Amino acid sequence: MTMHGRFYTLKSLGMVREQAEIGPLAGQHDDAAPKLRQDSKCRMRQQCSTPGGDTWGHKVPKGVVAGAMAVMLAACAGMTPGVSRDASPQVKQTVVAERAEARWQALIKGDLDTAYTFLSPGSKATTSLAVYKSKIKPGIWRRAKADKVSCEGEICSVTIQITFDTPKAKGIETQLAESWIIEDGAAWYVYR
Amino acid sequence: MNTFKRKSLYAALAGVSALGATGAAQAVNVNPDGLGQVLIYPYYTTRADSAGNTYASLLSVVNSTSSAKAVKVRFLEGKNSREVLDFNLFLSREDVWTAAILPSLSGGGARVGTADKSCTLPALPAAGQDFVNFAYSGGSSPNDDGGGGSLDRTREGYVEIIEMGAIRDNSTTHAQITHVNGVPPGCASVSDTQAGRDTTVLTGGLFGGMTLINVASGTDYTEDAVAIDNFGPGGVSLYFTAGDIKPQLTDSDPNSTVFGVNGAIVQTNWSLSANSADAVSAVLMHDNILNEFVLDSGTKSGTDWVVTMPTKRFYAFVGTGNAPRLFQRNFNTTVGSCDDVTLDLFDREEFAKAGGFSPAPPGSVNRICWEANVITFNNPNPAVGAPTPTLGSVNSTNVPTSFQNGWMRLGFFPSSVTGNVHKLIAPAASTTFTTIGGGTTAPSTATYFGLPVVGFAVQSFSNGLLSVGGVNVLSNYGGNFVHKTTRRITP
Repeated sequence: MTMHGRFYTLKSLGMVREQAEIGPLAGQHDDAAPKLRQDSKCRMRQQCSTPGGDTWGHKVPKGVVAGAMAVMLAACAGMTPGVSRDASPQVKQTVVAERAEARWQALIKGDLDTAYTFLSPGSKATTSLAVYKSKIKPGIWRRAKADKVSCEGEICSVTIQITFDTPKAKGIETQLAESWIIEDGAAWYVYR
Repeated sequence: MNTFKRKSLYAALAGVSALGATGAAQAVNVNPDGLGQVLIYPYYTTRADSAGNTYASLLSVVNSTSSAKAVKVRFLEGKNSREVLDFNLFLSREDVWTAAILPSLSGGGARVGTADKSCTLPALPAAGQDFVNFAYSGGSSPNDDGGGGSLDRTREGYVEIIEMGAIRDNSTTHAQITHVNGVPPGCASVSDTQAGRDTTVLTGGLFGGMTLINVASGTDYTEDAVAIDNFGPGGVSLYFTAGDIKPQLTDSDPNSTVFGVNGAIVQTNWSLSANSADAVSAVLMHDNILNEFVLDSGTKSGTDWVVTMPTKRFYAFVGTGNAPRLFQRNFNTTVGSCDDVTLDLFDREEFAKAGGFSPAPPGSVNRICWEANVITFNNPNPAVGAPTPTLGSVNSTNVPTSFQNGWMRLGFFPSSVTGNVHKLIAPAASTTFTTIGGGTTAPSTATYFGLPVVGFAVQSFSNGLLSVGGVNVLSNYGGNFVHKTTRRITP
């Protein structure tokens, strides 16, 4: 598994300077949920040896720290860092933001197989991998960052800040709205 | 600043008409070669498609001439053509300006942003400039058109770029806006006062296009701007200050030329006409719009037609009842300003069927009610105003059909259209018909049939899994096709 360790949780919440450098969640093809748990655990394990919180000296809201810490502690304790609809808002926001950015990293790299693993079970039931791959044309996106996450029960809305390039103009920034669902202990992208 | 007065100019040119000299060298025309003094981009959108994926619209304008230019860039929302933003743009010689129309970051509308270095008045903020609803909202404001005051209206519409004139070489403004090593040195110093002094007659040579890109899926559609040439009245500049709603399409030369109507060249002098938009309307008049549709279930195809009427706002006014001229009805709150139309559908095997919008309007007469309309086919949600599957437009109407593919003819003369509705009547002794090798008729009145429209169709295809050399590749396509049209102009 390729991991470029950064404090991704804080990054996804806009608390770090650097743009995403997370590698693709390689090998995440067939059984997304167990892989996700494994990825999260490894990521958290790295963070366990990193001073938690503001690596680059930025101020971090207490709630975000609490959410991040909750996920980290779960991982460090060897627990599956899953998430449920009843988790605290901070935990849900943190997990969903991380997953949303990871999906976009796969898209940016043109790795549609990995991007597909983020789809909710319901989305996968109605959209096969082949159809999904026929509907996405990678190559225009440069950067993606989860700007805002809000959850109500198991349903979460994510605002993604996208930077993309086209033949007419480069470096265009815009926002996209995404729907995510918390199910089976993980967050999943709802693809329509 | 130039203080051009259209009425006085028209009055002066009225003498030309009186002489029956309609064959003016300067006459507004659509340039099929794509270069002009005015560009009309039929559609922009920041709406989301049926998958919830948002569009961005990327605009470019090219100054192909060796003269620097001042142009007015105007964005108009699609329901009632109310202006949502305009500014003055300065293009140095052979310059290109690009911009992106994107969802607003702070509100429910759209915004325009650019990384381009060309000067604008006023300067555009780095994060982009939000579109505004001042021209159609406000409750008791006289601007309130009753069509809904939400910024959401700004999320789809169309764009005009009108040349205000060439900038004199070696002038102050020329030096300020001409790129040096890729950057104009004096944008901060550009002023309307000086630019007005330094701007001279229009010289044309503009062209441009728009890309409607679905950011989440990476697919796109493209459109060319319709180029109107010889727009400017002879001998004057059309420079107006930033913040002035002028120049508009009503500020044209009063002469129009239409080529190739039954082999003839039709020239009309509209100086004595009651509506100063007539010259531009005349060159956009069509009595039928034709295009294809593809709805194959196997390819999950969808088709949306864009039908934009860029001069409608000068004929249909806020209120109930009939429009006074050319168009059928005034702009009646959220109903819009509706024009009755006919729909004839044909499949690919010449089987014809009369079509109808769904749900059927009162009286079962098909209508299109906005200034930038999107007509879709077999929308799973057929309600009026439901987002279209491909472009996500809510200025929408739906045509249900059992045909998987074929073509449609949209006409402007159902039995409910009578009298002078959908007809542009030219003044007496204003129009000549010149047949190549066949001479020129004596000046007479003339009737232009139909409505002034521009537009195109977009078609989406999804072929599912497509394997090329053992590798799965993108098989989701978008195509766009400019509308084909017929014209009818009679003496």
